[in-house]
Amino acid sequence: MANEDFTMNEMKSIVDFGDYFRDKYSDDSLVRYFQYHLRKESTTLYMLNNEFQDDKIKQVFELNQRIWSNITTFHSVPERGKKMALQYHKELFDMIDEQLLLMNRIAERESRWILYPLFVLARELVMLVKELRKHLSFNLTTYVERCGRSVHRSFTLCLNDRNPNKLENRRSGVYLFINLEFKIYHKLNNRDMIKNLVKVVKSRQEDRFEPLMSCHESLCSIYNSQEVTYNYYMGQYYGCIENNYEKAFEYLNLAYLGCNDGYKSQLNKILILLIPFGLLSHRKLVHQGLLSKLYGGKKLKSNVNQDNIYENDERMLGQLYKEIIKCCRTGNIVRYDNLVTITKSNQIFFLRNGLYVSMQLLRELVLLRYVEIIYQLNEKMTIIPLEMIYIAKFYGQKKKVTITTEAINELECELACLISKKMIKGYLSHGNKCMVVSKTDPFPNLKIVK
Amino acid sequence: MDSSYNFVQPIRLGQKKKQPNNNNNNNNNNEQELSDLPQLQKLHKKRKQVPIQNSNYLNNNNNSSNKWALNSMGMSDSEERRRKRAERFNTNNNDTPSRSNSAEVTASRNSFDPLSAVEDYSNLNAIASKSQAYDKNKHIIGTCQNTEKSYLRLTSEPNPALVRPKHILKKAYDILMKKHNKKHVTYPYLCDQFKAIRQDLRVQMIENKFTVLVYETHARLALENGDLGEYNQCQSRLFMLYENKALRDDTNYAEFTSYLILYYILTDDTSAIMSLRLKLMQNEIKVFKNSLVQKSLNLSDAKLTGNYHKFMKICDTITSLGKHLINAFIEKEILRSLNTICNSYNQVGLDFLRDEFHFPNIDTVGLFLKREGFEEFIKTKNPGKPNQFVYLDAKAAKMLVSVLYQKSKKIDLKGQK
Repeated sequence: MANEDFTMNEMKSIVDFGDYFRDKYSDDSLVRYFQYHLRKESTTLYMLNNEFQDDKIKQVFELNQRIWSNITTFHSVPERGKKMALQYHKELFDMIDEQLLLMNRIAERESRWILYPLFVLARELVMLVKELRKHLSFNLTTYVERCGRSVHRSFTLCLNDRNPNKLENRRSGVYLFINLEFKIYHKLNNRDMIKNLVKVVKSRQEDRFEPLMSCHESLCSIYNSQEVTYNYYMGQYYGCIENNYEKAFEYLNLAYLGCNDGYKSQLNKILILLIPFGLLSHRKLVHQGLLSKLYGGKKLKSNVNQDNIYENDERMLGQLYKEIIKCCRTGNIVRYDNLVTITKSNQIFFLRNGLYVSMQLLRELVLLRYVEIIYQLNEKMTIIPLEMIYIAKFYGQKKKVTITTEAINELECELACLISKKMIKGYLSHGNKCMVVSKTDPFPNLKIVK
Repeated sequence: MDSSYNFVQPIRLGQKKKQPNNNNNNNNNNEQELSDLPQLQKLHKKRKQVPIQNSNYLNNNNNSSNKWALNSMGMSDSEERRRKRAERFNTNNNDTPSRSNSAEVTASRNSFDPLSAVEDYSNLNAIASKSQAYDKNKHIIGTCQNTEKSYLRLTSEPNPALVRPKHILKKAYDILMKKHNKKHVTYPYLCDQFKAIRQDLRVQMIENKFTVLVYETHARLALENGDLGEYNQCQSRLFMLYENKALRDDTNYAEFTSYLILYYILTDDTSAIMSLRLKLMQNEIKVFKNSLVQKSLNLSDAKLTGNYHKFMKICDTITSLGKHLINAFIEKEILRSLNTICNSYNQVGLDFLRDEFHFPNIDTVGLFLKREGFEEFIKTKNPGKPNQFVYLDAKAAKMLVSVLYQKSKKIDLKGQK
């Protein structure tokens, strides 16, 4: 939203900051009060009536004034040196951190109304860390860790609220801070903290006496984007770290269904994970038409800048995933190996998104389809010589293929894995170098088996 | 989770002059200096690069750096800071008169005096608050001249009279290596001596090529003798040292990276392998292309998909010290592969098993199977005749094999999981 829109929508008014605390409500003005990333101070004037408010609220108010004045002076200077920018950002971080600390302490005494503004402030801090990354290459982890500590404070004050009144209980806001924590831990690349976070949330949700409400019933029911974000992070956790593809699919599916069509980059991110996990868990193939509709027409240049993640994601979805899905349907094992294992840029893409393991496991499905096609082409004879399976890979190649025992043994091993996972009904015979499949339904429909 | 303790870093007592830095290029965080000790170091948790302390503002916050939970007394950060500041004044007042005393008296007073003003029993969640009384940037210099020293876990701040300085440590190392090469000493003795050397190095914050050499040698010794716990400690510390590229030797770094991957395979930590792989592919191509590292990575890939053929083939080719790591997980993998085989074959010749699992000969295969309880399933066709064929009745053995495999999955590695 452009800054101009905001100023048009705000009525010129004077708001007493202390009123929010006296009357215990929050509205858009309070949220706007903290949105430093918009860089332009709100046109409503904020004041503090000193008679009632306590020390901390006064400090928050003063800090806010200082922060806004810093922001406006910094952005009004036409030429900003690197050093000045660095100094500015560091100071800004310290001030917002301090403000968040104060707000946390205030929030401990307040109830649910303060949670969204508190979340907005915490989110500012996280966004600032992202900004800092451009100016500060080393020592960034200190700032990320400090940010994490403050956000964790907010998280615990939400989680540990024992207020019996459901409307006042701060627990419903906990998912907002969980999302921020996920983001921070991903920045720090700290898998252990993510595992711990999920464990804590899960145990609270299953608690016998005071179970934590699900995301859908919490404050996130109003803030849909937060629910989508939560589902995405949980799906990503289960898929990439736990390798539990069913659960991952559940969460990511919810995220995909909840995400509005306008948010292209979020949709991309969800789809990048959803498609492989769907294939692995439920054998759901994305309809070719869907992908074509979303990404078909665009022919992005192949030398697109890898750093521009948005474009890269789109390209990957449009080209790479299309190919992969095609391989899955046609059982083109050679092409699949080429795409996934040999092309280095694809490997890096999968590693970055935590999909390497899923891709290796997906290979089994491709191999299964491959064997099934050979079986059908062979007039559904139950005895399939291994040589036939091996040779078919080189169909169309001009050069002579030598069949080595080593290669056959390796193929035998891969088939053994398929059979033992019940994807093929049959058995292998090493002596006769063939695979014998059952007469009835040798390639069971995996959806039913699952 | 994180078990960093704020250990104490005492000032060189009695002397105000600043001591020269012992080849220490980095201002490493002194907080975790004594967490090298076995009981304190969480196994196979790679320690993140600790923040550099260069301002007092950050210093105060870092004292409570890893205390993620809210203070149970409900005390906020600034209130705690105020309290600590107050204590510091008390400590300083107590310290100054005692500085004129001899080193031992002060040392003993600081170590063992339970009623020092710094102790505040009213807030049991407070950090062991002696830390701010000592200047963390000064490290101690040892004065002990003995070349031999047995390892003793430190429970308080170290006594300089018991810590050996750099040149003595180098001598001690050379003597140990000579003894080891002549096979005069046992592994427990070596391990003990090495741990003492490591402790002395850590306490004096010596982090140079000699330190790396000590850790590498001890790691290799631990591997040779199958001491995985000790190996893991050396490994984690080594990789922290390796973050300083000046201390790295490329071949050693590649070698230990390959061992690290094998260790991750042992602990079944796939996501760690993936992030390591990404890091190597993006930033350290040379290491990535190293043959040892490639072997370990291929091994992890084979394990993922259960491709026992490739797995066993690669295991056979690993001849370096990685062998010892492999021995720790090979049996579980053999059982897993047997499980797959028994589910997909009706009968499987022992010669096939010998080839797949790279056993030395058929008799070893037979022995192995008998040991696991498959005796009744081993059948022989045409016994005694030239075309004798010994095979395993795979179909019948299915149940047993799956039971064994499930059992082996539950075993934790010597209490290290």
